[in-house]
Amino acid sequence: MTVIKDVSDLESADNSQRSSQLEGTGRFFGRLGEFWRGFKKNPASVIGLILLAAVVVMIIIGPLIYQLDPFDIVSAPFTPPDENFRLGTDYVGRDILAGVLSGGRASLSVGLFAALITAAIGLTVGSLSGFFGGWIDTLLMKVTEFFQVLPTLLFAMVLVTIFGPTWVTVTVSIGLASWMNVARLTRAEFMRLREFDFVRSAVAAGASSARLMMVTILPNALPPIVVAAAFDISFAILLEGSLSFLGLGDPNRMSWGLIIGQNKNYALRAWWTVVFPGAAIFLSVLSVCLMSDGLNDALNPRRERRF
Amino acid sequence: MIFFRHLAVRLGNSILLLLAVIVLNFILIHSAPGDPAEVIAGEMGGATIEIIEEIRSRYGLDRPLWTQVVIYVRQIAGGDLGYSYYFNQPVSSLILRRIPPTLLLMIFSLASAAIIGVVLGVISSYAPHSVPSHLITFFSLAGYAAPVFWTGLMLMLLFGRFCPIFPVSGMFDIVAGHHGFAYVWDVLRHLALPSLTLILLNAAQFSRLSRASMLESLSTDYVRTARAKGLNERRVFLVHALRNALMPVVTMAGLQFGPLLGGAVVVETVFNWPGLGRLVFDSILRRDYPVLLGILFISAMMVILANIVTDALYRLIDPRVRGGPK
Repeated sequence: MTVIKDVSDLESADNSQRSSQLEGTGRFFGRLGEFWRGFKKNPASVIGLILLAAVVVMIIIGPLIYQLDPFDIVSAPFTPPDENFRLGTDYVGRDILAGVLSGGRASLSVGLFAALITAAIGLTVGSLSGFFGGWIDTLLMKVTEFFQVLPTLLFAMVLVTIFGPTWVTVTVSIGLASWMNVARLTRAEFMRLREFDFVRSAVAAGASSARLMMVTILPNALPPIVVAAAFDISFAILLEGSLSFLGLGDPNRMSWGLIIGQNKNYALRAWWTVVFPGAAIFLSVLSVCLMSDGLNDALNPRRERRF
Repeated sequence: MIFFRHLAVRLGNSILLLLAVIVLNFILIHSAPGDPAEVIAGEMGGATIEIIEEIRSRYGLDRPLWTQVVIYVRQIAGGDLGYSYYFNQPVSSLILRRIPPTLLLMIFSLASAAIIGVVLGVISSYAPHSVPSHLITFFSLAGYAAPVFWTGLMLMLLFGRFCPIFPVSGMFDIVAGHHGFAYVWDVLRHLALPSLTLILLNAAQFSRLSRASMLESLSTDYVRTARAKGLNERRVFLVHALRNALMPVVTMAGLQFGPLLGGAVVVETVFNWPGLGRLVFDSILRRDYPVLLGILFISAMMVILANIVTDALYRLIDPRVRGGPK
């Protein structure tokens, strides 16, 4: 006989009954539906998702339709936007529209993969630290504290300068410079969950440390971490922008930050060279933020929103 | 007494952190592609063999690795950050000369951002679902999402093209050569746009934090007590709730120091502000590693210092944490 302590137990009992009725794909769609109900609570998150989808479609399909090499000189320098060059040309006469369309690939892919690296390092450090405690925790938190002392942008910048600006070094540098928040968050979640009864019973059943961490605790710790990682994508996009603005992006790939960095001294003469690529970064970051807020509503209904 | 003991522990901890930064710099020099001596010389347009040899002997590069670490740490700890062959002067004096303009920009922006942010946050916590509150939320989201160099350029376009009341480049008018009060006024006018850029970025975060913190503070028992004993709403709001809500803001101001430094570096390159940022930009172009590593070291030092100051401030303001280490 089950003892019902509060309403959430009632709900979960109800849910488990419902989900046992659904099988396979039906169960998956049931969960997806539940997720979507949480996500769409705030219209801003839905707008963010649509905006993000639009940006992603634009940078994937855009260069296929508008086949102009962003490095090709196609017109006189500083041609204002007209019917041939919709967004004008830059200081050497390269098409801005082509740059904005293909520049997004570098910015967004670096953002996504850097956030994945951030999550991987942060999860590893945080879970070891929070699970084992003791000297392991002390040591790993000292390491985390050390990395927090280095200003993120400056550290990433030094790494890229020393190891050379390529897509890989830029991505890894951003990941290495910004995993600390995820680590702290993961550590806190692991410490909190470690004391729960379901973990204690797994310990009593003789589960190994690895099993406890990966199977028992991790799935329960994930929701807030997923939200933080999604938010980190926006941070990584901004960081990539700053690096390529300073001339530290991969020189063989067009990137939004690079266009702005190369044209910054002519901004007053040719506003279109800086306004459009910057707006692209702004909209991407904005949409990722709004979307991660929606994730938060869907995954952690009781936690407060970031914005 | 406990306060000072705590301070001593913090100082010891900080020295360890700084040693770790020096060791990190050492590792970076040695893991860079190419000969460490050439890395230290930087790509200064072909280092002569004499210079390379001198570096090799000065840093003990032909000795065992652990001896090299000791030599390197001793050198940096003694204040010798190396020599910039491109700028042809010691790195330490190069950096020290660039710090005041950056600090001026940072402190002015941080203070203004904190004040503006707290005011906005308090307004928006007063009626969390009103139109102004939503506007402030949108403003803080936009402030975060706009890349700082773009915000700077947009302000430059706005003020440069349509409303030229502020200069868009440099720190003072070289031609006019002002003195005394006119000089201060000139610097302040040049400061306007770079600091406005950083304020837009940071006020957003302060307003978000102080809004959340105010909402939390307003739901506590002591606020309910204050209301129950019949204090007027303004006093409850501004004295009882706000004072406690300010604590996280102080912490935040300290934590913002590192990110703000990164932001300042970028903004300085936009507005030609003659601080660390310009130096960073030039050193990246010349692959001047000693300068870059020196800046990394100095900025880590400034972050540590900012943390100590924040911590001490926090302990002085909040009686609950004055009791010593947890």
